[in-house]
Order: sequence, then structure tokens, then C-alpha cells
Amino acid sequence: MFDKKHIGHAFEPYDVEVEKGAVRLFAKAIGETNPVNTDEEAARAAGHRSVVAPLTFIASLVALSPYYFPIAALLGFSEENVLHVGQEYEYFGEICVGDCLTLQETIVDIFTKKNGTLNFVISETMLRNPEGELVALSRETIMVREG
Amino acid sequence: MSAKTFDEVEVGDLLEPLTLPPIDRLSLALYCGGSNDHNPIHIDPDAAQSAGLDGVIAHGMLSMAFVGRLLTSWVEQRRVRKFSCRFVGMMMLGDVPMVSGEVAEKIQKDGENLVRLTLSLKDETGQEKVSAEALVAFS
Repeated sequence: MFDKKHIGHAFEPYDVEVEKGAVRLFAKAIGETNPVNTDEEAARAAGHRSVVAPLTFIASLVALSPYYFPIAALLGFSEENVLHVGQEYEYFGEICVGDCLTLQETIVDIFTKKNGTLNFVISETMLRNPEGELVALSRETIMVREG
Repeated sequence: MSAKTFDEVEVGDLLEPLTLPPIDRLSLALYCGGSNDHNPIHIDPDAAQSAGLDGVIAHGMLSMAFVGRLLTSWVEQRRVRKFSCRFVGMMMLGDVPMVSGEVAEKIQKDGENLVRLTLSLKDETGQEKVSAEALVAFS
């Protein structure tokens, strides 16, 4: 099992830009056709700064960590043994094309089930705008099999 | 938008369900690129096999994205305060994602009107793969 001393570990923050092409590809991948998520004019007409990133686009920003999957590196497991078992988002503002955000991930819990054969890690990533305001929070639960 | 005013929304109201095309390799490849999730178990059968799976599995987050589409087809995205999912089963190639949702609760808290929805993604046999919840604000 993983050492609980890592609970509270905060990874280095990193900056990301919400790129137009990235949002377009994401919308295509999920089949999103809502005009505010695909069309700049329609988004502005509806009162948004620009094209609105779909609700779960945050996942693609979190994955842009330069320390790609930092939890796996810190705790020492292989990505192939990971199952994503839970995901939660809280939204405090909008994320639009052109936004620059600072992300920081923290391990908030580590626990085991089934006599220690299944390891769980919960982490939170805060997404902040350049003013330092919290725009969204991503809370992810992964399960790691022994392997 | 099919969502109405807070007074018009009633517990038990059903969202118009959404059925997606069957999961295929192209959709997984697109989502791999689009999401920056390059875990090979979603696109490489060899990697899936060495991880003890019968074949590539769809990204749980692709299923969550489908649930999100149902949510924002019902209400403007800017009113979504919270959206959470538990991934309770794996989606494999050929599975048909079917998303449904229901108004579970109306909450008045700190001067804000909130509606809690329960949402679900099942395959074509009715087996649940994603169990989700959302909190949506109404004026």
C-alpha cells in the first residue's frame, strides 16, 4: 500500500492556456454540438467571453501537467494498473477559449480496501485565473491494483 | 433549453434521454487526443491485455462527458455548480452509451435555488456504467 505520509502533498503548480484548437478537438471527441461550446460568435452572443470549454474539458487541462501523471511517479505505480473510479467538479466561474489558468494538484487521501490489495488515492486540482480566483476544482479518485 | 423556472421544475421530472453511437476505436482515439489522456489501455489491445483486460476499455471520462452533454442540453452550462460521477462499470467496444437523468431534489439555500439531478449512463442491456449527480442553480 502507499505511504499515508503523502496525504497533503502538493505538486508544483503549472500554467495552461485554454487553446481554441484543443477545445474544438475535445468537443468533436465527445460529440458536443451546443453552439456555446463550438461557435465563437454564438458564445459571445450568449454573453460568454469566448467559446465555453465543455464541463469535463478540465480533465484535458489537468492532464497537461508537465509532470505527466505526477501521482504515479511519486507513489511508484504503473499507469496500466490504474482505474479511474470517481470524478467530481465544482464550478465557480467559466472556462473559455483564451483563458490562462494555474493548476495545482494536491493528494487529499490515500486508503486501501480488500485487505490492502486495492489502493485508492484521491487528489484535488485547483484551477485559478491570473487574479488568483478559484475558477474550478477537480477531485479525482483512482484505484490502483497490485501489479 | 428545456429547463424551466425553479417553480416549474418538479422532483421526478425526467430529462430527455440521450443515446450515443456505439463505442468504436475512432471515438477512443479521438478522446485520447482530445483529453490528453494517453493511457494505452484505451487504444492499444496489447496494453489492455497486459493489464488483465479483455480488450481496450473506453475512458470513464468519455462517459462522463456524455452525461455532461445531457446535463447542458437541459440547462445552460453556466448554471452548473457541481458535477460528479462514480464509474461503476467499464464500457467496451460496441457498447451503446445511453444517458438518462431525473430531478431528485429542490434545495433553497443561502438565497440560491438549487436543483439536484441524478444521472446515469447505461449500456444497451441496461447495465449501469456511470452513476452521476449534478447541482444546478436557478434564479
